[in-house]
Parts: sequence; C-alpha cells; structure tokens
Amino acid sequence: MPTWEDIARDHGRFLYTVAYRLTGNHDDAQDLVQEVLLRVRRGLATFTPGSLEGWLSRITTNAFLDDVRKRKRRPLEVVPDLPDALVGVDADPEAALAAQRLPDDVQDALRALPPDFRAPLVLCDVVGLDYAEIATTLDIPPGTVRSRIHRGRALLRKALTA
Amino acid sequence: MMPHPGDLLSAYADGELSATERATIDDHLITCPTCRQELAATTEAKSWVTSLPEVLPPFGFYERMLLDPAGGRARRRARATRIGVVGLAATASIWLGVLALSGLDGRRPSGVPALNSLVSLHDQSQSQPDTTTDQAVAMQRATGLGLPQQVDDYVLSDVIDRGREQQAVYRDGDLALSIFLYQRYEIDPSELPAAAVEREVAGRAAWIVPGADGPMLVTQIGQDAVIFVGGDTQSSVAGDVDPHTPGRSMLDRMEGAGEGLLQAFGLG
Repeated sequence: MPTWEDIARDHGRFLYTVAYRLTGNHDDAQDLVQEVLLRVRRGLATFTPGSLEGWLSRITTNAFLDDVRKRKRRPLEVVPDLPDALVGVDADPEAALAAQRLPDDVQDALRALPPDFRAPLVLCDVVGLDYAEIATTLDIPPGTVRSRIHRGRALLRKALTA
Repeated sequence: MMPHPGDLLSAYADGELSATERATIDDHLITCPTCRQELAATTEAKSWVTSLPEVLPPFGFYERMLLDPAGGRARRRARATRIGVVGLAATASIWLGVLALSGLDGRRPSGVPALNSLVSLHDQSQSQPDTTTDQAVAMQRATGLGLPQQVDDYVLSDVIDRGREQQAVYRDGDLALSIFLYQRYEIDPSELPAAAVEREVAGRAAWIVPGADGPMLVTQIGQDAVIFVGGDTQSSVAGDVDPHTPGRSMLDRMEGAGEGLLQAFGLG
C-alpha cells in the first residue's frame, strides 16, 4: 500500500493533471487532490495490485463525481443536444493547421461538458484507461462508456469549431 | 450496406472493437463518405485531449498538504498560507537551505515527514556527489532549464526532477550550492515569512529570507519562482563582496550576493 507521501512525491504531477482536467480550474483541482490523498490516508481506497496511476485515477474520478453530485452543480442526467453531423476534416494542410486547438480552448470545452461525459473522456484520453477499466471505474455498462465518449468528443468538436 | 455505426466510431478509433466488428466498419467506411468524415472528426477531437500538456501543481502545494492534511483547504481558501523556513545542517563553510511551505509561520518544524524528507534529500545531494544522475542527463536537463554547466569553480553536479520542483546542484570540492526552480509559479509576497526582506536584485523583485543556517534568496524570473541557494559565503559565486566585515549583517552581504548569483547563473 503506497503512502500518500510516496504518491505526492512520485505521482504528484500525474494526480494533479487528472484533477485539473476533470475540474477545469486550479482551486477545484487542489480540493480534489486533497480529497484523494485524504481517502488514501484514511484507508477508504483499497489498493489493488496493478497500475498505481490507474488506481489513483479511479479514486480521483469517483471523488470528483461524488463532489459534483453533492454540490448538485449541474443535473447529471441533462444531455446537451448533439450537432446534426460532425464537420468533416479537410485534408488541406493549411486547414489542418487551422484545425489545431490551443490547450486552454480545449480545456474550456472539456470543462463545459457535463461531468458524466467529461469523466470517461479524461479517463480515456488523459489517463489512457481502456473502455472496460472505465466501465469498472464509473460503474456503468461498457455500451454507456462507448456512447459517452463518442458524444463527448462530438460536443468538444462542436464547441471548438463553432 | 450496414447502418451508420455511430457511437462505434469512437470505439473504432480507440482500438476497442473486436476484429469482426472492425472489419464490418472497414467495409462500411469504404462506401460511406459521411462516416469517413465523422471518424476523422472523432479522431481529431481525441487528439486535442490526448495532446493536452501536463499540469503542474502550485508551488509548495504538496508540502503544504502533507504538513496539514485536513486544514490545508481551509487555509488556502482563506488565502492565509504561510511559508516556513527550515535550514539545513551544513559544514562550517557551507550554507545550504531549502524553503518549504509549512503553515508554521517560520518556526522550525520538527518531526514533520515532508520536511524531514526534504532535509534528507539535501543531505543526500551534499554527501553523495557521485551517486546522482547520469552526468549527460544532468547536462541535458540543465540546458533545458537555461542553467550553465559551470560557474567559476562550481560545476554542475546534478539536476534532480523532484516532481514539483527541479533542483540543480553545483559543487566545488566539498562545497555545494543548490538552485530550486518552481516552474509556472508566481510568488505571492504574503506567503513569505515576516522576516523576509524585499530587495530589488538585478532589477527584479526578490526576497532575502533568513534561515537557520544562512539566508536564502527567493525571486521571480519570468513565470518561474527560483529559490537560491547555498554555496560558501566567500565565493564569487555567492557574489559576496565583503563577507567578513564586522558589523555587516548577513542580509547586507546577501544583497550583493543575490545580484551576483543571478548574474553568475545567467538569470540577472
């Protein structure tokens, strides 16, 4: 069982990055990391042999969603409208360059996603978990993981190409 | 022709489909420009997120939390964080310091795991000069941080990535000097201990912070916080113009030292 001093020293940046991508701002990221380390310290999170960062990601995401539900910032069941169709990608290099997005813009768009869509996207594309791991982490069916990731990306694209 | 795969396109892009499912979608994509476009759009959206950079925690964040796990949040929100200073035992000719956020308002903490571990790390840096990072790696890291390989008789010995800060260690024989770089951290003067003295050093705001074993220099260089240091008080590296004049305080001497340090390391 890693101590939280070990976690802070060896995985502090990773943990903070996941927390920041989930919450979208430094204040909430710090609160979230603190909550994660408190859970680790209190033994509320049982370490299972395997990827330490995967384990930390699960604790972080659950703490994040618990907090979202507690605060009731946004109704979790609200699903925004999807665009009718995704805009195609032009093969033109100049258009491809123009299609690049600044990290802050991407983070803003990520933060604007409903938490239930943001969490699987972060677990997939920031942490690198596979769909089965994401389903276990979030306690949702694999089909729901698949649809939330796809819809999340569609919403990101809608926000960043508007 | 199969219906548009829809949600399956992200699973396809993520390599989450079985070989059979993948083959079916491959067939569909050949004849469906709409789905080819959607797959490209999905892949692009994925790349935006996967290419997001690592985010560094604020300066001293973990130290502060490790020292006071339950109270850190409340204090942070109250913007009443304090910085404590702990000095390190050193040889008579060396002063080597580390500044750590502690919430202890300058009192020298004892028995605090985080600070003890920092002290231990510095002791290791000082006492085990030949067991550190591969020299070529250290050189590469120093170059990346804009630090020189050598300053006068002090030669770069190691650059240690500690997660929340980078520590560059320079040595001259038994003497050691450390520089701590906290990237993307803006110093808040209210975080500094009351004993910190603000001085303009090489045209930039800096604070001289007395420590148990010698003063430290804290300054802002661009987006980064830089905390010096160590070294011997008689070296030109320390920039001490008059180290042994009776009646001059260490802080007086440090005023010149700060400028000398920044200039010597190309930061002034």
